[in-house]
Amino acid sequence: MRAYRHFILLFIATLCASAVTQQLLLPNKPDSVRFAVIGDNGTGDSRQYDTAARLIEWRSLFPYTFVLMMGDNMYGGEKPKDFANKFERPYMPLTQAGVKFYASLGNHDDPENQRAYKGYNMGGERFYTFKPKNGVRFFALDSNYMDKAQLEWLDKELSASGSDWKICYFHHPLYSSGATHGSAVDLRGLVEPLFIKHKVNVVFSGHEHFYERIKPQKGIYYFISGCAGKLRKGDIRKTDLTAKGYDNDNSFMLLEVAGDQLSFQTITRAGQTIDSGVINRQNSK
Amino acid sequence: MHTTAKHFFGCMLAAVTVVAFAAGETQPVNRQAEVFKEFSDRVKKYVELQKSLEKTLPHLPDKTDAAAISAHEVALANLIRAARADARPGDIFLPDVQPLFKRIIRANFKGTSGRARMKTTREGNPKLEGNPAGIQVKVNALYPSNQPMSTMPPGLLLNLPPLPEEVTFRFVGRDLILRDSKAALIVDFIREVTP
Repeated sequence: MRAYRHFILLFIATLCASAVTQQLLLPNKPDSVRFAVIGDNGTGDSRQYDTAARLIEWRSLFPYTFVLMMGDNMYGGEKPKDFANKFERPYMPLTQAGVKFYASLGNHDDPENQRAYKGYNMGGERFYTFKPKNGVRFFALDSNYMDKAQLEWLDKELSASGSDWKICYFHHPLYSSGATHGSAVDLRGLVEPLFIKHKVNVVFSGHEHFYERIKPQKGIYYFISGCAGKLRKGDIRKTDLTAKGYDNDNSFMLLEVAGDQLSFQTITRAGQTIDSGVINRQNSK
Repeated sequence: MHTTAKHFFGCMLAAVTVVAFAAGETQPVNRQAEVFKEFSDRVKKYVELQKSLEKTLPHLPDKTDAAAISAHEVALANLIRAARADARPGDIFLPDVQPLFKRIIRANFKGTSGRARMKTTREGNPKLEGNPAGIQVKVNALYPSNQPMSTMPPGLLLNLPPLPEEVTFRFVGRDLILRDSKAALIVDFIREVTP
């Protein structure tokens, strides 16, 4: 009898825990821009597949229409079988449902192999921009090879954008508390002035195999989400940069832009929410 | 009067010094520009060859599958290798240009910001993060698709001659290579450019 009661209690506790972990904290408004962020995912191992399974699962609660990729989309080989094992198979339910992936390039990615790949929607370019809806524009950069041509392109495109929300994403984080890599200072010296000049709102990166939300820097919000396949446990150092950090498990982000607000929720491979919040657009009237 | 004369001669001396210094500076700068122009001309010629050979292959669309991309890359690499069967190290990184690259790179790796740049080149460097035995720095050698690529410090890139999209600079160990990004081939290299 006692054992039976124990079993019932355990069963109820499990149900409660599951209900908590599946709780959507995003507004899920009609006509909003809904998307996900994954980074450093292309391992082809069980961590990638498990994280992908959770990402797929959450779409029933939050029907995002596209996924931003922070680079290192493909570790190791880039033969057709690798594209199948490290991208097509784990995310098949999403691509079949019409969810688009927009990749940026990491240091493990061959630009030529990936920019023409239909699954990554890069339009044949190393760096590109797209607008899912009026007022919101994304800029995918190649931080492995930030040459003069790309800097000029970025300046011109940001200047011409006119969008309320300007969201940039690329592999190397400008600010990071990672012990292995840390902030990309040289890159920051060149692109941050452009972000400030053109009032970029939010920046996403990967490279560090953990999740970190950085305290706003010069008015810009920075997120690192580089653990949708790889994970570097315990790599976040104690710094003044961190608003929230998590390096115990793989994770991905769900985001929603509705009017002047961007809401985010970060979810682990186990389905646990580790961070969430709302950003008010900095330059809103 | 005495003070005015001293001031005049002081100014003259300063002007002569500036002119002499400028003359001394101008010549190496012009020489450097000349050498880099020769390098850029060689790169341009290489890209022209690459483009002309690529035109003989079926067009690769901007959106295609992995098998088509891979087949295109292999076919282009084979054509380039055949066309450049007699290519030698230094054909593009000419002997005159090599010390200039070394000087610029080493100057860019000095000081605090230099150390950060140096660290950047180690990220994705196949000799440090990949399989060191899996890549050989040789003219016309394949840059294997399972090897990562070194991140190029943007501050350094701005100080090197700009390249067309079809080729990039990369570090493999301490060597600087010119990589054909369409055919994944090592076009040319300079040994031990980093400190």
